[in-house]
Amino acid sequence: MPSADQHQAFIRHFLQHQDDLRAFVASAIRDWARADDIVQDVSVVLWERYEQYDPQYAFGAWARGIAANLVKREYRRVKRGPQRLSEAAIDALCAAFDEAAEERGSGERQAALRACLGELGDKPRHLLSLRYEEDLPHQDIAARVSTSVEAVSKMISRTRAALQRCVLKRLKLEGLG
Amino acid sequence: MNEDLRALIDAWLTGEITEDQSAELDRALREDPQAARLFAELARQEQDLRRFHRTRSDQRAAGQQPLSARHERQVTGDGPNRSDQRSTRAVSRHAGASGGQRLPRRTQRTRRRRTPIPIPILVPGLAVAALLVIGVVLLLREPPAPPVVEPQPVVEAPEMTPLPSEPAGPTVATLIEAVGLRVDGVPVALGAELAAGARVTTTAEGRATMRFDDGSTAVLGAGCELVLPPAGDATELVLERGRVVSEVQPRSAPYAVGGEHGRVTVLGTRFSVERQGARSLAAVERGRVQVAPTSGTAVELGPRDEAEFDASGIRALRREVVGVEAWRRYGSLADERDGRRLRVAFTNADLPWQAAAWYEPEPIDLTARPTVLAAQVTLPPRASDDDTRGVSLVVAPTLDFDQGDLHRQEFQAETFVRVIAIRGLVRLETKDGPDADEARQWIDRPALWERVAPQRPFRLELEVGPELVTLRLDGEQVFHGPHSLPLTSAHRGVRVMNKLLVGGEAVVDFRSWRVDGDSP
Repeated sequence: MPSADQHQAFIRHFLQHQDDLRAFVASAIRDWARADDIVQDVSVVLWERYEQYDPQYAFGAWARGIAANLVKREYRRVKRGPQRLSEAAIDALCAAFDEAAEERGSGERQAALRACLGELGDKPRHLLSLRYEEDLPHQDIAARVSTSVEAVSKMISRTRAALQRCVLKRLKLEGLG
Repeated sequence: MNEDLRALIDAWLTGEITEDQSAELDRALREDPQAARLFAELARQEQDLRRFHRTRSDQRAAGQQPLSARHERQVTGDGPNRSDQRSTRAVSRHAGASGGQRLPRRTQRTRRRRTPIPIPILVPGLAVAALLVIGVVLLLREPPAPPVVEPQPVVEAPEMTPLPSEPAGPTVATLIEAVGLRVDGVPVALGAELAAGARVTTTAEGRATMRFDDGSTAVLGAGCELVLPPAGDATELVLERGRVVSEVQPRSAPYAVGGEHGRVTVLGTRFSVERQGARSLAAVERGRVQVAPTSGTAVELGPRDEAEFDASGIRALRREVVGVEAWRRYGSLADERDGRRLRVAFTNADLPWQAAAWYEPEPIDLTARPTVLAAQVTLPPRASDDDTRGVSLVVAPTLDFDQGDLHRQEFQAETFVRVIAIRGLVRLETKDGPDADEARQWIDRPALWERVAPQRPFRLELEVGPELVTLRLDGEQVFHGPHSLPLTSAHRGVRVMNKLLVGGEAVVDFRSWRVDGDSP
């Protein structure tokens, strides 16, 4: 059984990386409730194998490798369902997450996002609210704001691009980017 | 290229993507590291946006008007509000989760349910915050003048008519706990002496405890009606409705709870009798009782035995047949085994996610008799919006599995029934074979918000028989229906997966019953 020190170290590591793990798993699974379950399983595997973890390697990459395996198993397990990524694409994603994983903390990124959301105009903010707060598909959003689905998709995509630029700018200003 | 790729990734993340687009995205991720990196960035952003809006959603549950609703009314004049939508969704969920329905066999892909802060938690929280603010303001002001002691107004106690000091007949018991209690239709005060033959009733939220001269006690639950025994050595309560739990001291005279269906006589024990419509249910916690239907053969019940009976006889008898002592453990948490009970001390309360431990008792043939798993749970305080700590009970086949790789994949490959309770949510999950998807069914009732809440103890029970599955919360049945699972004699065994993460402890109570008769 891991020692108390290892326990503390594990908690620190996992807290630091859990957001990234969830983002990785959820983006591949696209079922946020199911993704939570998988991340929970990842946390258990990590805890039980923590004694095998070599601190000279990045914890995030190690954890993501386990998460990737569980995502692949999930794909194999659920034989029917929506489109899925190939195993090669998941591996590529894993590498991409690894590349940027330790560069910035999720807390700073989220704070920057909050600030950037505050700078948005009413309309884009409303669209994001309909999508994320009310969980509406683009088709329903289009009906609610009396426009086409394509227009909604494009507006949300542009808003997200603007938010991404804004967040990067803020993080750079704070020396975190 | 970037805008097209963004659109593809957006479409993927929202699930609104065609097969062709999906293949195109897959190819881009495999062949272009920059595409993969953009995907990673947008995936993080997706999560951040969801987190941000979920927080707002929780704030809305606190009564703050949502920006989107305000905006929409400005734009359209009469947009539907969210509470209406939520109600509609709740109604539709109720429609799918009512007791007795066949469980769906396919996974119900639902959008993530948000978990608004329950009002009972939120309101006190806001009140505490307000008091703190007031306290800080007061502290920053000039020192207060010495307090002036003023006479306090006399607070009148609610009007209550105590029983006459001299009961109508000989006293048989004393009231030591009373909420919503009437004796012969009259409210009574604590400490009142209860006369022989009195009719005692509790309201729908009432409860009462009576102590008899020898120290034996009878606890009346809500909605109970019984008649006290006549004067004499023997004590026989006549139960007309509701449930009464008796704890009987060793005595020479008989103690019994009877009624239309028959009589349960104590042989020195703690037991309960409950009227359930056309039948009564007797359950023994310790000691032994004799259950004698009005007509038919009497049976004796030992600890943890149960009998359903009506006037014509014993309808079902459940006896525990397996003493489960050999719990195999595949986890990192401390535990103590006490026969079928497993006491789990959670020493890793700081872990951010669920710590899970598997426990496997000796194999039980699920096709022959029902199995009950019960956990007494106290969820920890909510640490964050994403805090989904809870408890999971699983009835699954026994498998030989590698300890190093012990997680859901193994039992997902087979047949299982599982219940998960997380902060106001209870979800029943089944899988009916290696090639099937999980079927998920939310048990969604307003009362769950109060019961399955952080820092409030609750009891979760999962009973799986050869044909039926029953789910109880704090003793109340919240689901009962056929499970349609292809259990065979090869499918046997139980596992408990404790995804609980608390600073205290949980007791997982395992039972397996042999059922004789036609119940349930």
